[in-house]
Amino acid sequence: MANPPFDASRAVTFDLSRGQIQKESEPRLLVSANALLALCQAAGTDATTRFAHTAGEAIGEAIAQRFERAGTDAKGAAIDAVVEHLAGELAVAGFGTLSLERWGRALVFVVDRGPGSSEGDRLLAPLLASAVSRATTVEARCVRLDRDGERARFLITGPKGADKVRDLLLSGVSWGEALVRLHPGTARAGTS
Amino acid sequence: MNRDRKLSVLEALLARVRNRAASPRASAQSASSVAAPATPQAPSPPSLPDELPALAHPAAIASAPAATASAVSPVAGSPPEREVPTEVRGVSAPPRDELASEPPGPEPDEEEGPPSAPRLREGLSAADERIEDEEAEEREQEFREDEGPLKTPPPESGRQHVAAPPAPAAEASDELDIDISVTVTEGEATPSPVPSALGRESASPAAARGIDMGAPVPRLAFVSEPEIDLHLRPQASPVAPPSGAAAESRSEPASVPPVVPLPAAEHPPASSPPPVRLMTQPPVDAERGTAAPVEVWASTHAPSALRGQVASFVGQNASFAPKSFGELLDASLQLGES
Repeated sequence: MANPPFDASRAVTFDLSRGQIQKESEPRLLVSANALLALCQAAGTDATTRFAHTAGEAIGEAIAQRFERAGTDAKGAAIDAVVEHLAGELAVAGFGTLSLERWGRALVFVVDRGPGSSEGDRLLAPLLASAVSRATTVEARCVRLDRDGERARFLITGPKGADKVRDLLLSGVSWGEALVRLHPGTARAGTS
Repeated sequence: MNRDRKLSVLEALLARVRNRAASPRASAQSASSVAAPATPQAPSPPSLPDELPALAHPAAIASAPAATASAVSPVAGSPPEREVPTEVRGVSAPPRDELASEPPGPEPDEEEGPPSAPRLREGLSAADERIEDEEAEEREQEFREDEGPLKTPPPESGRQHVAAPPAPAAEASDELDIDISVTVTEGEATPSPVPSALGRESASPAAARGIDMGAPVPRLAFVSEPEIDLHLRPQASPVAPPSGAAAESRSEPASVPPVVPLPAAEHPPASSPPPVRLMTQPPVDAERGTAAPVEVWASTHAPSALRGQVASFVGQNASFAPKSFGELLDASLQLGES
């Protein structure tokens, strides 16, 4: 089966006569990014994470449905195809442009020009994890590795890997070194 | 050939003539027939007395005896006068070597020679041939002494004087050894490989043309210009690939066309492991011409701590090639499990 292409036409409908914004028959709100971030900051990490999970699941669900309609699934699809849909959904929602990097066996998402800076990363990390988990029906975690200006890197990994990377980053290890130590065979050499 | 020998030969021939004259025989007809091929004047006896002085010329030596024989054959019977010619010939012969071999034509006795003149002429001609052969051999000896060894001439060209061959190679090599000189100076910093054969080829023609070899000769090297520039360039200009697609570019090092000079301050510390370096050939620039090969580091804009770990990812990327998003996702989810 061929992978379904991402079509952004008619992705968002502005019904000005009714005062409605719809995306795939689902009502949306057009709010200020700063207002949203301020709300997340005020609500705390758990509330922000829940909010991001909900947004991410919606994105993942949309992607999964497209692949299902094409007779395939996102997990078995090509990397480029899944990245195309993920990036399209994030772009329509205003979360920046997404790309993928593969560092060895590690899957790293790179988001450029996302909302805010570090506050936006707290929102993006759970959003990406939920989107991938919902699209591929797996339990994935997401850890922000680094931010360099408008570019942020997020690692998609399992629960243990996410905890290990967080510990390494908190201990002052660079994200590159953390990725190396995360790989089998190199962890002992890196720690010794 | 010496004179005594010629005189002896002539005396022997004269003795034979005298002997023939002592027993005359009427063979004038046969004598003229023999002499006819050698001399066209023979059939004209009446005009012979007038032409006798001309017989003294060397060119007429061979024909003189025949004409004389045919002309004097009727009066050949006077033996007492035979001794006169020898005396006259003995006086007149020494100053003229060329006439020594010819019979004394102007003598009246000789004009009235015996009918055996054809045999005398044969003997004289044979003696002349021997003399000429000997002289030819002597000339050959002279040629051999004066000139170099004769090369084989073309068969139809006859004898040829072949010029002396060129000087032996040993002499030429001695001269070249003087001219060929090593032009390596102490001020040269980069030891460019100079092919010895090329140096010899360039020095030999110059020496042969008398060019002054005192000044250093421009050296030719096989090292190309870009290579020289690269080696002469200061080492503080390593290059760094862009930061964006760092991971992807590591999996495909050859597809990193843009190169950015890395400041010296960003160099990794000496204690860090050496990063991955590649020699790449940039695409040809229309304005700048052929670009020199550059050394590319695998990681560039990444933090210094990451630069030392690039090699690990290079190996991981090469050994792992996921075919689907799910395969990559599973691999990434399994990180940290062990």
